[in-house]
Amino acid sequence: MTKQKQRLLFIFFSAFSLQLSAFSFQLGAREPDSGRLKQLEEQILANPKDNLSLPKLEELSSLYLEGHQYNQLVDFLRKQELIAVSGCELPLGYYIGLCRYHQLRHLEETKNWQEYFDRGGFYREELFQETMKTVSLCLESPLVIKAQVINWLEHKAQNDSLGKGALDKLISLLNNYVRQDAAGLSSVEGEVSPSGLDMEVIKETADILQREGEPALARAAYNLYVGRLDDSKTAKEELRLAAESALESGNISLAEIIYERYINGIKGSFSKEDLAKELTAIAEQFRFKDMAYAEKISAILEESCGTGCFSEELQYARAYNLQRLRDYSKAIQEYEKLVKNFPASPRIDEAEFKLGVLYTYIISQKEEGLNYWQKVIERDSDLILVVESLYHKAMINQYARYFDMAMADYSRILERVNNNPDFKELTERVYIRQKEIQESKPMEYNLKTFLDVSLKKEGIIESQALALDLMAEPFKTIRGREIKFSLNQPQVMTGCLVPALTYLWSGDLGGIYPVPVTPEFSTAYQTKGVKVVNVVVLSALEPVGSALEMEDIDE
Amino acid sequence: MNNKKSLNCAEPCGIFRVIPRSVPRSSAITLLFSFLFLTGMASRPLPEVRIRKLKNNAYQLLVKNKPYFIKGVCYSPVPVGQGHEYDFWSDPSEPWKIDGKLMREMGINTVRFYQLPVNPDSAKKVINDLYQLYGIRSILGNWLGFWEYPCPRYADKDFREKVKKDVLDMVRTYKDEPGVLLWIMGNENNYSFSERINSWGSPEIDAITDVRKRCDIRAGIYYSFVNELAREIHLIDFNHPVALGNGELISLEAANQVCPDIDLVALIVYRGKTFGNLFKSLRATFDKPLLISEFGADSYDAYLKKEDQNAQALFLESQWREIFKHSYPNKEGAQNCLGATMFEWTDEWWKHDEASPESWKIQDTESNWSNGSYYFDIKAERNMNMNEEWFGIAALSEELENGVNKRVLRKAYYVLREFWKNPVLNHKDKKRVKPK
Repeated sequence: MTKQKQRLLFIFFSAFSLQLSAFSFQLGAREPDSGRLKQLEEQILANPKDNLSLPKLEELSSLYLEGHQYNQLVDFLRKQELIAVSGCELPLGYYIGLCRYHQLRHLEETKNWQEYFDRGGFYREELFQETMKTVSLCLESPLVIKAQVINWLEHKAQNDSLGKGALDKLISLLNNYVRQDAAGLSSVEGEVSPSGLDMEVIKETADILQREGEPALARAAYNLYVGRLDDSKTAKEELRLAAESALESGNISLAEIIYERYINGIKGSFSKEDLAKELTAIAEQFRFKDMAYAEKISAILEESCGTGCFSEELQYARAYNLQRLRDYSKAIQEYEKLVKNFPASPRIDEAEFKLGVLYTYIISQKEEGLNYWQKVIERDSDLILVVESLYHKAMINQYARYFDMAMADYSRILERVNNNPDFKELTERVYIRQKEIQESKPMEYNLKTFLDVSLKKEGIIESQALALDLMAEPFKTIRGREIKFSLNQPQVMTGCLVPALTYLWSGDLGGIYPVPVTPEFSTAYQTKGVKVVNVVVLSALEPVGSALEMEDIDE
Repeated sequence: MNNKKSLNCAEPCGIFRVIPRSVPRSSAITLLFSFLFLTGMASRPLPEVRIRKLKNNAYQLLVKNKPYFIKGVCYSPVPVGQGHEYDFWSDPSEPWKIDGKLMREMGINTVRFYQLPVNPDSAKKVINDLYQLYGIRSILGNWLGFWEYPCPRYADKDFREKVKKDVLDMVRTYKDEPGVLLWIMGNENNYSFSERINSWGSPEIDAITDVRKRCDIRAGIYYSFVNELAREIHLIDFNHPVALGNGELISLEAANQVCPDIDLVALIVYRGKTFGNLFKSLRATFDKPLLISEFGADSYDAYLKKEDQNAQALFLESQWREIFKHSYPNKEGAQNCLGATMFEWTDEWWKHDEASPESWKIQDTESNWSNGSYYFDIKAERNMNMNEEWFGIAALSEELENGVNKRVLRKAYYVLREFWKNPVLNHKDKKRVKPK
């Protein structure tokens, strides 16, 4: 194959992913320009070995595929075969495979099952034969990978026994392709890329593997891609830019792999301060995209520089991130580091209030929780968190039947808020609690059940326990904006029958009363602060699980 | 009376049981002849539908003495805009004639009805049309009062008597219809034992504090009752086996203690692409022949919010492969499966909100339940991925054709049609299809 032809192959197959996905979802066919089709066909037929035939064939295929004229395209390609061009100069087999792949997807999309089952076997066989032929003929070309991708995808769609082999072969071809290049066997000096390797085809194959549910292989392919970036002596700055670009385009897996390389590179060369600054910036980028990865970066930072490298903001972000990940014991550790290392932080009240909630309701260490709320009360700097801390403290005392202490704290709340309408919801909750004590009534049933379950760990029989996941969407918002709390459907062995579960919502519900038959509700808060929402799930009056969520409301 | 008496002679092992092979052959033959002579059964024909247990403990269903493998579908052709109370049996457009033809062309030989209508004439016509026109047999079920308001009171003798009368009336009414294959008692009624579905009790049960014990007592009461029904059905109907309907394998260890008269189990199983260890587990728990009476996959991707016929076809083919694999004579399997009835023939547009007639006119895409085994769309909001209105092998069009909503056959129809023609039992043997 001439250098020029190889270059053309690189160029015209670089939008491979697009080739695989562009046409199958266009149900409304675009009638191709018949004049242009004829012109292209004549030009290719007149001189198939001409260098310009490949771009013409590319255009011709696109026109036919857009118009869903699959058989016409294959007929033309078959005619070309008779003129005897070798498999790689004008890759007819690849185009036949691609065409049949799109045709089968189009039949699926249009639900043309009659043709799909009457002719599908034939189309499929043609696809397999032609792609295999391309693979055997074009070993040094990126085309081999593209052809094998099509081959694998079709086996996968068929759920047949050859799917695994096709996938193995794809990975092996991909490795060989990269290895050959590394050994300089297929490098083409001064063309396309310094090494002659088509980087896009590697990346797009990785994208396809990711999309098709092969994350481990996708990761390996991304590693090949990133490895080649690295090998080609890419500057660290370029790696960082590549990672940012991957992140911007939504390819989080690739961004993470590139960042890993980048971090490995800068670990030895950056000063502690610069490394901390860089890792902080990376962790921040992932905070809302992949919380687990953000935590991984934080852990690397801690390992490399120690806790001292954490800024106050990053320390808070790490703790908050762990809270969102439901890794509560680690979240407690990190909030406590914030409290210890940044005692003057403006987040100190929030951290201590949350520590109170996590200790009391999540890990059932009531005394620790009460201590943290007491600190917020004594510091007396953030009125909203002070009165909320007083409320939780009073409520725990009320539950423990220390009514005098509870009443004293409830009264303090009312004194402090002094009929301020911003505290209307809290005031109402306090009145209800006071009334319960004054009239010697039991605590509100939903709340009491939650306290039974979370404080005493009572009532849930292990064999009946359900794993619950309470979500708030969005999990951080502003006053007056709607928030939806929803509980993921617990996986209960009741076949296709919907289990009769009761949902006891309690806590700061924004002044609404969700019905107990619904696993979700929407509300809006009129005051800022940390809103604690609880739920206990009952099955036939027995508690089977509980969950808690803290919603942050800003101004 | 005489008939009853002679039927009694077949007890206690039941009509569908097989003599244990451990008795020496000569003694067994002598015993058999003496027995038949004494009871006057020598000329008695074999039941029309029976299950035989082979030497290697394999189970095989025989109809008129010929092997019969159940390639079935649950059938409830409720049209667009109608609800669960719609009497499709009396539909003047006779949708079963359209469906029966399509079913036969696909390879279906059995339909399952969950419950029969009040008017037996209409049901007999449907059963007979399906059988006479298309050779399709019917499995007839009874809810056993599971949906009675406020709950099925199986601990109450009066309630059980009422249910028994209903069941025995059903058997008397339909037993002589030539298209009948077998009876199924109940469906997923066992889920009520754990109190999460249609919980029921009695002063004695309610007084027990241990949930597990309450569950065991309910299981004992319920399964004993179903066994009693089976025993009484056998007294009336010599020709058809009786199945215990059950959700999954749950509580079957209790059935094993009290259900000697049950001929087979009919399990409702939604485990995704594979049934896992179901067949072997049943051997260990309650060694009876198995009919998987409800299973399948919906054709709606709740995550991507669009129809996905590929996933449905893929799951169903995989499920049927396992069903064949664990049936006689495949020695690699458990050989206890007699076939299956997948859920279901057509979509049913009323199912998402059965109380809202307006919603019956549209095909809801909201999910009713969650099942992680259907992994392709489990990432849907709140993990709610099972779309009850999208289980049909045939979708329904609002367009009417001969007075019936036009059937739009899904990919699964063709995939199973091809699979049944040549069932490839081992996935690894499924190679490329030769072009036609």
